[in-house]
Amino acid sequence: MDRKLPDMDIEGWICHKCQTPLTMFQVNVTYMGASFEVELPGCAKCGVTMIPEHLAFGKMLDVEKLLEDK
Amino acid sequence: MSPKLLGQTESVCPVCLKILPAEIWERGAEVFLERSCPEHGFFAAAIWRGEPNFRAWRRPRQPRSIQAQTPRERGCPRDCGLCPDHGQKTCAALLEVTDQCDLSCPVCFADSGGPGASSRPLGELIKALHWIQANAGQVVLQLSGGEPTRHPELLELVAAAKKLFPAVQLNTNGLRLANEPALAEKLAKNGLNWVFLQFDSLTDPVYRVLRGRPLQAQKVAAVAACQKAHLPVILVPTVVKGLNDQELGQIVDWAKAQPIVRGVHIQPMTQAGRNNLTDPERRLTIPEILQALETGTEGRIQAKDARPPGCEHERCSFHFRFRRQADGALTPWVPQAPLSQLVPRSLESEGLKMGPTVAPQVELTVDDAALNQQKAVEILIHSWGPGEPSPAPPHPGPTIPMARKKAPSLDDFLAQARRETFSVTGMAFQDGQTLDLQRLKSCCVHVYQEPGRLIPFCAMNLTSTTGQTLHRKRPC
Repeated sequence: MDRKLPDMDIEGWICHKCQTPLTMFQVNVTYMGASFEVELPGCAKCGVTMIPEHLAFGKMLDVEKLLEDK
Repeated sequence: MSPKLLGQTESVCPVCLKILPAEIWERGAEVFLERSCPEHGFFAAAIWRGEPNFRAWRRPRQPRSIQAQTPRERGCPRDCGLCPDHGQKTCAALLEVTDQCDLSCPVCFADSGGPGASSRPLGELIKALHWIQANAGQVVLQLSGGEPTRHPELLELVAAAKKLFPAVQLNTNGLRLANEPALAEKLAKNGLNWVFLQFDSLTDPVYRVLRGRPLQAQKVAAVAACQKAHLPVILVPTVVKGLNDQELGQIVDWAKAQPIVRGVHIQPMTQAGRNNLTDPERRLTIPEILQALETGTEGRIQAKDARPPGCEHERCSFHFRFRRQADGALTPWVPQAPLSQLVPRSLESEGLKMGPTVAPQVELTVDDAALNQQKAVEILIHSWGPGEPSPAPPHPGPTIPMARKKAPSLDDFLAQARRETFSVTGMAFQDGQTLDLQRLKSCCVHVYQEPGRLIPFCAMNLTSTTGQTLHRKRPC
């Protein structure tokens, strides 16, 4: 399965702290004991990762609904 | 162990339904709701028996304010509803579309069927759907009865409901689904999300007692029809101690082997409506059901993994959310902390005065009831709904272990979770013997009643020992 996120245009994004252009990384995300791998933009220098809004309110929210308690 | 007063609340007299102060007493391994009616005397009903311990089963939450439809006049449960004393919004709204039924069950909380029974006109029901949507919002809409498949315009009703609500559920005995296999596909095409199928047993003797006739073959045929139509099914056993409680493990094992069955929802019998099984010793409490599940599955389901709800009152239901593994094992999605570590510091938040509890190891947060109601609707849809238009069989390929070194992608995980989630849940409805008005005020399962009221389910079906009701109009 293609693990690149759709609509992920990182052109023009830079790390505020390092002033370095963002690049794509394989990132492990852990939530409530479950780990997932996803390709996200981040800073090669300081390692900060950006989670775009459509991911946070899309698939990540779906994961939360699946795992959280009623 | 000497008896211990655990709390104070309000209840009703089971004979005259007068509102009475009540106390919750722990007597050995049992907990009782006790009150005295000046006219009819003392009543005690067992509301909890065994483990998990009553005092450990906690999920405190702040009540939410609601938009009341009726004024506070005669007191709960007579002012429904909802009245300003109610503390939770609707999560699931029931619309009773017909009084007709093709069974005449000895046990029926709605007392359905009979010569005067009829279906409500489509136009009237569509107006009701709009009223519910305007007043209750984004809820799970349950088409109920009577037997809703007896309604001549059922498909139109489903389609109309689907336009207004995020999920539509059909509460059915399954006879029409079994006898008319094309119906399931038509229902699915019209937008039905899942079937809530009365399913008391895998054997006919139980159906003879509860439903008055053998039905096992029709129940299996109904599930097969839904499988063919990719229409998810929740099996709903009504459980009576000594009749079918020891069969719960077998029902769960059978259910998890059916790809289209998304869960089992257990309802212990109550004394409401029509019921000839009046021995209070046959009423099951939540811990007894959990123990029956553990024993019946030879420990494959552990009572300790059950959790109290956050939407309705903590003592109204339980739930397990499992992954259905390729080898048939059911494992909790999220590792659960022992309940004994979740005893709250203070129990004052819901106004229930309790005695001292064991020292807490983890302070339990007080949930926001409003937030939990929204979450409950979404979680119900994720647990019971298809998740995808035509769900794949549950085990199409190798299962991705949660703890393997290389994590699955979010896409993999979501697809897997939608295929493999299997829930075992139960709701302990209240009757005239067990009614605790604090629980009732937290109810989120509401029945629509003309001309624009929402009646909490247990208030709607409350029936005195003499057959009197507060809200339900008895059939002719």
